[in-house]
Amino acid sequence: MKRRTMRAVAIGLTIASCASLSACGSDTTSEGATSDFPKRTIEMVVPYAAGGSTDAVTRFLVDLIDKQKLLPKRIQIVNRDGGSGSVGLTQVASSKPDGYTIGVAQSTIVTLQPHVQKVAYEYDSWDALVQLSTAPKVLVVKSDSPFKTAEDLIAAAKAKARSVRVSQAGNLTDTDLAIRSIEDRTGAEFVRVPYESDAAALTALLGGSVDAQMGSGATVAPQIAAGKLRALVSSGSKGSKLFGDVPTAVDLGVGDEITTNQMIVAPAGVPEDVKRVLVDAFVKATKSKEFAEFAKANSREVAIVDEAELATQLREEYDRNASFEDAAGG
Amino acid sequence: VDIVSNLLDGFTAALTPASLLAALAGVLIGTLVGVLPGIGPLGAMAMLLGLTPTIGSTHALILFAGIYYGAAYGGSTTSILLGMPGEASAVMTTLEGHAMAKQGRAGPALSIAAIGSFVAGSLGLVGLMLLAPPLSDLAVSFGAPEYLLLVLGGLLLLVFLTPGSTMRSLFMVFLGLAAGTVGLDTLSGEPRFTFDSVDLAQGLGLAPIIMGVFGLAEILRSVADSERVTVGKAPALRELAPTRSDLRRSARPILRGSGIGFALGLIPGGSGVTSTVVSYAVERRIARRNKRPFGNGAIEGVAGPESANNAGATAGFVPLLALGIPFSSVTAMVLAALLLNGIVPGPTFIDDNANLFWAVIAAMYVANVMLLALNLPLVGLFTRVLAVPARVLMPCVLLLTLIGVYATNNSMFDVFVMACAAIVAYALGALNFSMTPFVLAFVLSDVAEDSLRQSLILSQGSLSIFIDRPWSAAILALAFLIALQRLVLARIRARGLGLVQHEEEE
Repeated sequence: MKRRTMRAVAIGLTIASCASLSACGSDTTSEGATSDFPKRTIEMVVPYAAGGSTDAVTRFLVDLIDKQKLLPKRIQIVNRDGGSGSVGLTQVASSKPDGYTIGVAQSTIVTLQPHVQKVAYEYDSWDALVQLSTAPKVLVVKSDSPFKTAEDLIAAAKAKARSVRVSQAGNLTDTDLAIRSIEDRTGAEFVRVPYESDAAALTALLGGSVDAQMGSGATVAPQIAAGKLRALVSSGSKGSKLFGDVPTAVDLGVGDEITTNQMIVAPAGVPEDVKRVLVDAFVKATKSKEFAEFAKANSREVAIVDEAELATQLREEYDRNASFEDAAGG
Repeated sequence: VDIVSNLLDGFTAALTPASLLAALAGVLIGTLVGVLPGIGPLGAMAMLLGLTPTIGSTHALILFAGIYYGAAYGGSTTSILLGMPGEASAVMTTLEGHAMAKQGRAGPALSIAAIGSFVAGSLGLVGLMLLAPPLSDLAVSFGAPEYLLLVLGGLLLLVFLTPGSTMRSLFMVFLGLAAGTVGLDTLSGEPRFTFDSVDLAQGLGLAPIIMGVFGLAEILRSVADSERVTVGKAPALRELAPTRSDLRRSARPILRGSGIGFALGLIPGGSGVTSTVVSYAVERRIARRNKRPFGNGAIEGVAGPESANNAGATAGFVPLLALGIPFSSVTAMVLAALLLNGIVPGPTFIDDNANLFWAVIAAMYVANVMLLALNLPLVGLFTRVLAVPARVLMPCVLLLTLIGVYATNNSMFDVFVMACAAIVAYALGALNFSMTPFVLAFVLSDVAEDSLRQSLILSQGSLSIFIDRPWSAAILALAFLIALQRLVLARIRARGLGLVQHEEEE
């Protein structure tokens, strides 16, 4: 550890001596990207703190790529937390497009944050290379709750506005968007109670402070399995069976598909052959048996979407989220 | 009998060479990051997270638990020696601990801190082992109104505890709460006081603030005050061990601190810090009642908060292991290590992974013993630091502090924050403002604000939520009784002395 700390310190000092992080990256990389990519370690920016769900799934994949030797060089994870992901992705956008600096992103960083906060990028400042997996949200109640189905809960909220309290992980997070979409589609009005994390929103539900929670699958699934919670509806894609018989909001016609996706991004202009090497490695790892198990345990669905289709998807999402321009703080 | 056999199985797993190595690595790393400024247990775990799939879930848990414990032990070292707490939970230890160091009693202070940590950690483990499932249900029954009352109670206690004028302490509390609002609002995501700066949007970091107001400001003072050539007094070798009287005086504070720390540690949101404040307040009250000196190097004031801190660290594992819910960022990191090993902890974690659970419990006992064995001999080494002249020591501390704060986030901005905090703290310190309430209010500001807003959203604006809920009503009633008792006491005293005094201040 001593060595590790020292190395961290040494790296820190090296970086300090460069004018800026991005300048540092481009100064030291003079070789152009060629088909023998990668020739050295690839840096993968995770724009969230270590330990979150996107961080965990990305680390798992990177570890698989390493174990299965899908790339000749290692991928080094770098956590750059802040600004709901915008800080880390700004760093990716401004780095040299040679494939040695890539990032992982949830689509909201790209399609929502530019609408609600001042960010130094546009929704198309990167090439979104591939979408790998998605994690739907799920609306849960305690198992002794009088609400047996999503219809029960929605009916109660419509019968008396603001009579049903739903906890979620902060304003304008995916969990918030998922519950808002139910409000938009059905006219129900909930009391949306923002918490600082999914775990805190879950604690509030278990402790009886709120009537329901819109939570990420990974957080609530173990509680459902243990019989503490009942899932009413998920925000997954049409017909998704990720939560067994639990219908999706799209199936019931009470909401939209809102998932936290995991995609690989790179600064715009990375050569095609380099992109292909990267995408191949990540797609192979995502399609592996090991990942399937991890995904199941973490309520995640493999959902591979290629670059062209992903661009369309992001454009639509970006336009749709324009309605949130004034929603920050609401 | 079941528990005994489970625990024996656990020890069989925990005493393998690999497990022992993981525990040893954990406690060493933890002690190191606890002692060094800047990087805390969270940073160390984040750096090692990538290693966890390789070493497997059992060893990863043991490693992380070791780091967590080690940091809780190590955090008190700089508080006592230099008056510079490495983390928020060690701030209260500074008050009596550093005063002891100045009197040449750093040895006993450090020893008692280690012994208290050991006892509290071990007692906490018994609680975790026997009561995790029922306690976890209790833990989730607390909600936003209770967090708020607890934090407010802690801050008010702090105002009364801080020597000097109440108005000044109150001012520092408000300043701390205000500083805590800078950055993106946790609940709404809205930027506040950021002036469109990406750096400010991150908020002011805890490490730069603590290092600034305690570390750098202390260094500034030592430069300005040329009279002070040494930071403390290096004790003679035979004065390293606590005396029989030290041990006797510490025994009860350690037990009380363990109880307070464990109970409050079950409640999410800032409880670790609050429990050290409560423990300090309790010890001061008892010392006053027994006409013992307090406030100028009383060992009880080290024993209590240090024990509370460690028992709270153990209690933090209860909701994680029994429910799969992390209440703090450090336990969230432990959860991530499990996730990366394909284990998703939930309410059935202990049943589904009994072997893992008991191995980890056993490993925590082992880590505690290791830490005691590691820390007591180190006391001699650490106290030698005080023999170093200030003109040599302070520049070294300055350098370490700068590197530590910079390296935590590789951020030059954090260094600026530290410098500004130090200048403000130096100026306010010269005007007799205490920085303790400022830092603790800063630490607790997020919980205070979020839980206030959540409470009022839940009740749709009605304050009755604080009375309707049994726990919050109980906390309010307790606070009311204490306030009443203080008022009556003050009245009696005022009548006795013929003048109204500031309650318990000198």
